[in-house]
Amino acid sequence: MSNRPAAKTSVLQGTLDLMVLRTLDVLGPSHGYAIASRLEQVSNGALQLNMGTLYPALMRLEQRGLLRGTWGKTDNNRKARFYSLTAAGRRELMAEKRAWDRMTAIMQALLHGEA
Amino acid sequence: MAPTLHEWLLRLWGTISRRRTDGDLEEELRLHLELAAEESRCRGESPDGGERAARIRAGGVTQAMEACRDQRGLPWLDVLARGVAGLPRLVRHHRGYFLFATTTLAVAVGVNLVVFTVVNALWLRPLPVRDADRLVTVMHNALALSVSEAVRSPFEAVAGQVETSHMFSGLKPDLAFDGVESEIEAIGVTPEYFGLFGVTPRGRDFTADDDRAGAEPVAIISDRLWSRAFGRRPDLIGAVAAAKPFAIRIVGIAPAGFEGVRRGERVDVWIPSRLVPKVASDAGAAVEAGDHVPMMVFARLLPGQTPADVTRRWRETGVFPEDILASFAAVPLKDVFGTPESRTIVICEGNALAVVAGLAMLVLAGGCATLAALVLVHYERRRRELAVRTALGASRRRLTGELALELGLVAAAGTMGALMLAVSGLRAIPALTMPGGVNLARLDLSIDWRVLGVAVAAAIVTLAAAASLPIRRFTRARLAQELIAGPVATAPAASQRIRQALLALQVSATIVVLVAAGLFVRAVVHGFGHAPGFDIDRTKFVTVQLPPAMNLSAFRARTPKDENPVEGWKKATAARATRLREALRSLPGVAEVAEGMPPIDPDQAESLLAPRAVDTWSEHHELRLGMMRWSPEWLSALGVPILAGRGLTPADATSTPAPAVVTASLARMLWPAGDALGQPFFVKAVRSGGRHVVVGIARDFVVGSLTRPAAGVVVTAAPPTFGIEHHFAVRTAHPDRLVEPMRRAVKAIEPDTPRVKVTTGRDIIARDIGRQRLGAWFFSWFGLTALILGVGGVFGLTAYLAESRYREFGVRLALGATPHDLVRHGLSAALVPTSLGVGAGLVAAAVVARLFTSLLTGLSALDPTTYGAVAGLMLSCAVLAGLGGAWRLRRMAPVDALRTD
Repeated sequence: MSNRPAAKTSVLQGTLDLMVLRTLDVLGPSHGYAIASRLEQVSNGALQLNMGTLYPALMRLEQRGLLRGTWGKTDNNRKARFYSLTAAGRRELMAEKRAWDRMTAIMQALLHGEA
Repeated sequence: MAPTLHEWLLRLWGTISRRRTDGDLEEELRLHLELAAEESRCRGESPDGGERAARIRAGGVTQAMEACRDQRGLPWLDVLARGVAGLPRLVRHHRGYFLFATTTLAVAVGVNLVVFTVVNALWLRPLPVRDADRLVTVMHNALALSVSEAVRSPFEAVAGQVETSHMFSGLKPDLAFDGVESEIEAIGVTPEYFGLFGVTPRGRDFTADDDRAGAEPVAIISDRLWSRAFGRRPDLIGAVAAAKPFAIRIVGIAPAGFEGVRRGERVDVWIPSRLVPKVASDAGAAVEAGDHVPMMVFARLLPGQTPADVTRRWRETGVFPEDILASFAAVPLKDVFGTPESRTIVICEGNALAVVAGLAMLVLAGGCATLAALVLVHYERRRRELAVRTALGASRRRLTGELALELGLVAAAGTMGALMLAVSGLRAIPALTMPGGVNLARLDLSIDWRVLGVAVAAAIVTLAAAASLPIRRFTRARLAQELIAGPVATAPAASQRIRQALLALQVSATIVVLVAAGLFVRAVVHGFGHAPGFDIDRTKFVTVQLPPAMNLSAFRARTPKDENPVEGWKKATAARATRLREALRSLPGVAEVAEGMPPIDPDQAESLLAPRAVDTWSEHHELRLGMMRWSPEWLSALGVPILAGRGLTPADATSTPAPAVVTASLARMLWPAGDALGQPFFVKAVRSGGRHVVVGIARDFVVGSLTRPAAGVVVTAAPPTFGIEHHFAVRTAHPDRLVEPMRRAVKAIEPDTPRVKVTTGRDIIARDIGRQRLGAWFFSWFGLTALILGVGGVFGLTAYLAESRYREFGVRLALGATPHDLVRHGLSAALVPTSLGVGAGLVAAAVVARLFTSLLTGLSALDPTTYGAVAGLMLSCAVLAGLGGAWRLRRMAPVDALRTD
């Protein structure tokens, strides 16, 4: 990993929900900061999620029944709200992932394949 | 991922219950910030630097809270709920703005609603008949031509243009159905009546047999009477209804909504015209069937023909002499008002409708401009509050929603106020006496919802447009800048120009309405104030109709076979007239009584003032002359002084050539050398024509109408008049007295007289300038509203202009300007756009006034007094408003202006 921070990238429209679902699938139950850190880490610092973007998205996914939020304690014994995937969330993640793979394949073929 | 129903329900629940409280949200966000700060510190940042870096990376808690709140519930519902909850506090805090804005909206919309409802009832509502545009009625001089055939003749003369004609009696049939408490309004019609208007009654129409003498009494009733009095019984058609003075068979029911054809008619029952004398209790007995019945004629023009064509054809056929024909006019039926008891009044002429509608729109535009000014000023003043709220995290959407709610409150309250104003206004209006004899109580004054819709929509669009200016400035960066550096410096020049243009536009609209109102009011005042040449306060006019027994036909029936009935009748009626005259003269306070009609009568003006050939032997003239031939004391009774020569005497009535008194201006015109006395002249006229000699010169007075000046008047003496109707001019010692004693004196002599009418000189003038009074009536309302809105607008916009330059003035003060300079600037800020508006408004008013020049009796459409007063008024308002703004600026400290809002 390079020490030089990568250029900041804005979230591609419509992908934030998929990113959050996938992060929770990998990490298991996590609080908001853990999710944001994970995304920043994966993107090598290119993706820094603002609280005003992340928390409304978490709330939206919870309202749609894809996440479940519960209050718990962190390792440092601090009160935090932990989010975990529901069964519907897992199904949604699979469906979104397939759709994304299909779309990236198309884009790959379009941009780098033989014309 | 599309929102699911589950999400919507949860968000609705979130709005209502606020399940996840703000405290929970804040705790979660603060943990996020703390963890981010800890991580920064772990990377080697200082404690302060760590927190700062965390805030930069993660954003502010307040903004994130706001975004979460929006996601938690339904933002618009949340805004609505919070807005509604906060409205009472907001209204209390800004009560002046809410009160003024609501009142402005209510007045602008309410007055428009009232005026347009009246205009709609008077002019716009379609007549309930087929092809109403082709229907005309004939206005005619009923006194000169009260014989039915004479009235019918003009139509027969132009039969090519008239499909059918109809007449009905001007008498009021007195009919009452048993068990029906309310008064029944009935009219007599000819059998062609319903067919002419394309109306088919349920049951059957009248037939020619129904109008025969001795036919069974039949009637057609209105749908309203059928409902009200007979419970819509289907078996009523064909049944005989018990009625007074006799039972009557109901043969048909008119379609719903058809209650006569003239605006103002609310007919319950139609009966054949032959039946009228039998049911008319008062005047009916005076009229023998078919004889001397005052008629009304309607006609349907052939396609392509106009009322003017009818008049032209009458003239071409030469059925009547010119001076009699001049009293005839074909008028579109949609332009007249009339009731069975009153004569037909023309209520729509020329551009009157366009002018009234245009001015109403100007009033609305003025109201909207005032409203826009208020909204602009209001939000200019709340700029700092909005900046603080934005800094605290309020989103633009939330602020916009709240403002929309505030504006909605103003719109809703204003609309309610407008409706209350309109309802109470429309209830009060029928109680007002409308000039010209138009009785508004007889019109359907239900509120026109389309007008309400258009007016409210215009006001809401104005509110939204005015509010969009401050809303566009609710960008976080701009408001933050204002918060840090104080309000943005002087508004850009383009923005200033828009505001000044708004003020100029508002002033222009107000000026046009005020000038129109002022001209009409001045025309009416001028009409009353303008010397008609006779004493209008102390002269009364009495009309007496002799009892039915004095009719020529009744008299003939009583006259022995060997006597001449006509001569006997003339003597008998003349003797009755003399007795009446003596009775009037014997009343205390009566100075003079003469036989004669009022000199001013708008109905007869055309025939009185028809062009006549005048020959003075040395010269020939074609003049509009008033030829008056009444008893010798007529001029004295009018209070018209003789300037030279002598007045008329009874002996002059039989002298040849006829001794005449001419008015001074006519004498000067015909004999410029000043030697009029003793000069002979010849006038070619059907009545009062022939050879004359000047024996006296009288002061000028008006004959016919104040609106149609004549070249002069020739007065000759007539012997005692005969006939069934007598007219007296009575000069009293005191103004406005003796009306009732005169009526009693006549009744004492002629107890069976069906008609005694006493009018004052003022009544006559009022009727003569009825159209001007009608115009003044309308425009006074407009003018008053425009004045309130215009003054409010000038003050509001001027305050706004001063407010928006507050910081600029602060800079000027800091740079050394004196308070005096600021006052000068403040004044010029108000006066320059107002002056431009006044200039443009005066030009526009002059153009509009040309549309109704003909109604401005004795007044120029460019009357300098009116224009000057209105311009002065608006400029004074601007000066006061400018001074008000400048007064505040005068006490301003430059530091305050630069540092704070």
